[in-house]
Amino acid sequence: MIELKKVSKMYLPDVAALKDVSFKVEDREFVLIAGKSGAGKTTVLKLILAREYPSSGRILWHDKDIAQIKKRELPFYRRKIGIVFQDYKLLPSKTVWENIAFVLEALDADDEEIERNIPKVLEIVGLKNKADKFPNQLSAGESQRAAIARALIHRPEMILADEPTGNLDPYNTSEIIKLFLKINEFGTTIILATHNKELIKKLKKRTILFKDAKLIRDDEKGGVIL
Amino acid sequence: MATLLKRILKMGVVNFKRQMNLSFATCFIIAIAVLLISSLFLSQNIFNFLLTEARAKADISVFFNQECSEEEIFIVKDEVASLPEVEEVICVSKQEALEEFIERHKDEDDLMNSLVEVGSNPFLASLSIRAFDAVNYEKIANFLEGERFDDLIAKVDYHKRKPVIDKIFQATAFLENAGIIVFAVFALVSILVSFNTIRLAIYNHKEEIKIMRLVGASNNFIRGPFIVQGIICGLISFAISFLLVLLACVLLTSPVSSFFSDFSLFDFYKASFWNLFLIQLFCSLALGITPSLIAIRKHLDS
Repeated sequence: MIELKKVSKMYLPDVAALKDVSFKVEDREFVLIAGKSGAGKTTVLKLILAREYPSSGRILWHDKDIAQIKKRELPFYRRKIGIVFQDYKLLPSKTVWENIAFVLEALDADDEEIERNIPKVLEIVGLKNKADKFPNQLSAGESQRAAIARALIHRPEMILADEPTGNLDPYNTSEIIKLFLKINEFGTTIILATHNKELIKKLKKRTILFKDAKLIRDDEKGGVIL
Repeated sequence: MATLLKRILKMGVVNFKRQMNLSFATCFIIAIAVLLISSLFLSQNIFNFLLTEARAKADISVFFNQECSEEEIFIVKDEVASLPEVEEVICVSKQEALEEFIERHKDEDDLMNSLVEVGSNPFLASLSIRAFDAVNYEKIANFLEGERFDDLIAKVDYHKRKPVIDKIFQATAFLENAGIIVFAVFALVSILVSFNTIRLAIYNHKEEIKIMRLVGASNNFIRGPFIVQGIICGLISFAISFLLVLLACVLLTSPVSSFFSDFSLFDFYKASFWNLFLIQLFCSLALGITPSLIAIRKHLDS
């Protein structure tokens, strides 16, 4: 599905965020991108989302180079991906329902589809009774669930999650990870960036380890030492 | 397309309502700018009207000999009126001059008694001549002081008035130019203030715009609701400024008339109504929409 081929990313004047990184993620995989802060995890996700472009190398989405996607076609590419951020990034002036509906409206889905699908997704993430709440009325765990619901609603091929449990307590962390596992079971590819050692050990999923901007290990079952 | 437009409209309205404080602050800023522009429009036109009135006071008078017949006076009048430099020629007969004098000084006993003592009409028939430009008066005066009219014309009252006439035209020209500059400066300041207010308001949404882009919204879908908000702000500002200007014109008509008896502010407002309406509407909508467009474009491009 997604392949990085000798990708490097430099920030001026001479800061290397990624050096010569290559890996491939297949459909339906659950992949952890691990490493300490500053190792390059977020940069990988930014490049996959085409928020930035590699200084060298290529990123292929179903064998198509992302860098060749024209600016006006970027929204269409991003609609195939769901994104979950550490700080949730919910739209503060919209309710939970409206945050989720926004994605479907941007896809020009009809009202019936929106009315039908949002309750289902809210059920999956356990926010059925919070549909009319604003983000500032939610707890951290609830906010992240809402963000996951927004990432999921349009049935993306892949979800990118950047430290989704970074601001959560252990209980909520566990709940959120269970959600991601459930979503993966439905067939969605998950790429999750984290520096949480315990999480990595517990999940025993394929783990790609970064250190100092380089990919140093690609472990099928996790258990790496950070 | 209809669904998309409906959603954009709904989002714009909902956003406007949910940020009521900020929205109304923006409306008032725009209304102040439009009020300023409206005031400048009205005062510029009033100014021009008063300048024209002042210039109308500048004229030269030609007094005819007592023996001159009416026919001869009209011949001179027609010849003067045919000069390209002449804007207007008004003929005042001896009788009209007498009546004017009596009307003006009817309460002054001394003057009325003097008139009775004289017995006959002491006033001369005259022409009041107004030129398009002050520089033309000398030429007109020279024309009238020529040999042709020696027997008919007693006096051409120009050379004494020349300094005053020149001063009137210089002063009005200066004020006209100064007025244009003042108009331009104030209009620019008001536009810049409201422009930057709205840009700052959009800046507050910078993060939101970023998120919308990341979840795959198209530029038009992101831009649309902000434009709708801008239109709503523009329309509310238009309503506020329209009503305030109307109220001001109604209330100020009397005080202004006490200064300038020939001028009615409300009549002037009525005559300029559609121009003012369109200026206010255009400025309100332009100030509501344009800064939003520019600011959003900047955030979408970044």
